[in-house]
Amino acid sequence: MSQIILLSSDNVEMKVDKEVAERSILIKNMLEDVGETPDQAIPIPNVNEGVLRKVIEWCEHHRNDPPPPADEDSDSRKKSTDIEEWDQKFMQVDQEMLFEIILAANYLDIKPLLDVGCKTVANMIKGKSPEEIRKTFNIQNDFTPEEEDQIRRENEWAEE
Amino acid sequence: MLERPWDASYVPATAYGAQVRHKVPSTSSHVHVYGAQYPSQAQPSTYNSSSYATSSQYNNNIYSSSSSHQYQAPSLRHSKSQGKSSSGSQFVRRRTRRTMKALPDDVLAKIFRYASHDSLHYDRKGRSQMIYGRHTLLCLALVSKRFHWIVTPLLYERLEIHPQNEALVRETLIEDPALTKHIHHLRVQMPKRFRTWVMKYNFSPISFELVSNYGTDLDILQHFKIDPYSLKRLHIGDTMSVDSRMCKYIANNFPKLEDITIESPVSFHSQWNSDGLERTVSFFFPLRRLKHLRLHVNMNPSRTANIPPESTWADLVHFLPKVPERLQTLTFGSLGKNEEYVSVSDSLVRCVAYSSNPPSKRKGDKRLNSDGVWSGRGSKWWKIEVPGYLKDRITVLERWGVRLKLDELYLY
Repeated sequence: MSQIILLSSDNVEMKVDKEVAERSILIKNMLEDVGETPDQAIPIPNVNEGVLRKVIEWCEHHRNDPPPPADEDSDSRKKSTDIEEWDQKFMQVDQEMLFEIILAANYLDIKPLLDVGCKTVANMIKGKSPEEIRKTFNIQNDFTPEEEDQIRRENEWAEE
Repeated sequence: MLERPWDASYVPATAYGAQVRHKVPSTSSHVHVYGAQYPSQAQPSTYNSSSYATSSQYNNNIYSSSSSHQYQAPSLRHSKSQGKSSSGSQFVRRRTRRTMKALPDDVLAKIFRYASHDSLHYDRKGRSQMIYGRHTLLCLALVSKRFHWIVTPLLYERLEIHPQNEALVRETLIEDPALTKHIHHLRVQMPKRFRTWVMKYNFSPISFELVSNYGTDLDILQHFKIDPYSLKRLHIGDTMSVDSRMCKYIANNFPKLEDITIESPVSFHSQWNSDGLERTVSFFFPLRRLKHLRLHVNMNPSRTANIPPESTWADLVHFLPKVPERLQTLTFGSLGKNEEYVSVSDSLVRCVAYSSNPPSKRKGDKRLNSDGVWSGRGSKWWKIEVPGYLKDRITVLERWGVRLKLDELYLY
């Protein structure tokens, strides 16, 4: 099994099976462009060591998963409750790490990991009021009371 | 090189999602309001003075901005740069702490889409509560201006206008007609008293469903301003008249249609005779993307002019024009008003065979062969749903089914 070296943003090298690393479409395309397994480390400038380790852990666990369906609108992938048990535990991290993983998955183009991250956040949102969502994610309310009223008014039809 | 507010390359720490506790020198222009050019917060390079808008501009730009707004690939650049004030003291030390603000708009939209599904929610005491996706989206829209901007297209993606919400939807669209551009799936249930306000707006849905309790016809359909190049699925319920005029209008005006369903409770014995059937249905066949055609009409073929009195639905296939290869589904149904067909469809098995009644012994007609395969028009074989009594012959029938070009033909 050939291995490649990934270099995190904080200059930490990590040896990974090529097959595992290729869960990332970005890395896969990069390796295909190069043509052969590179001797030098592949820089991943936007992902630090801690996050990269988590991402690799996920890729290791899912190394034998079938590739995700090409159809973006596939219903099975859209159900937010549909998170595997292992993935649920994997995502039990603090918010900062959760968002780091989502950003890394987005950057590295690992769609299934991005989906799991998005579903996890979606589940954190469900059942919460606007104020609770703000509090949970530390978001500032930048609406004036008039603007809030306007939004409520224009979406009144959807409240039924 | 120092980054300072007066430097061209200066980016306020808040733009990176940094916490408010970091001391950031602010000027009056740094009051951040979500406006027409709201940048992805993970894209600091696009963040410039033109990105700022006043509160009053927000109302004017909040929807019109969507077309100019472009999703960009996220940048994960860490902002570790430091600066010093003119007095020499350190005025900002930015350590990037990832919050939800750091997520780009397309990722947030993905999250909100997941959150928009109805689901059961369990509280700490284990009590279950149904969480409606639409309510979740409304809550998200009220969180912040950025969230509102991202959620609005999702909120209006599916719009159903019916007599109960008609007034509210009307008020909303009067206030902001541009909202119609977000509607991908439009369902209009026409009220008893026909109202025309909805026909004043331009819609560009992917799917359009028009139903009413008293009957829809070509005149009503013609009055809707539907973008001909967006529409892929059309469903018309309670149709008063499925005639060549209507079929021609649909075929000529919506060239991208992939899926057509027309239901009608009215009898068409006069229009859907052997000639009329061919004339009517054939209008749809030149549609290059058409894959599914379902016509549910109240018609008993045995009582239809120009069709032999003992004919069944399966016999209608004889009168169809040459069916295009790309067509995957061709359905004829009688809306369940004819008991004979309902009883048959209740026990249908999907495979290749003859429909409804036992095979006819008429001379000259090739019908149900000894191996249970029914021959349709010419040399083409059809996939039909068959009644339960043919179930034991499925293996034979499926073997023949391989030869089919048309995937499914339902004759109820």
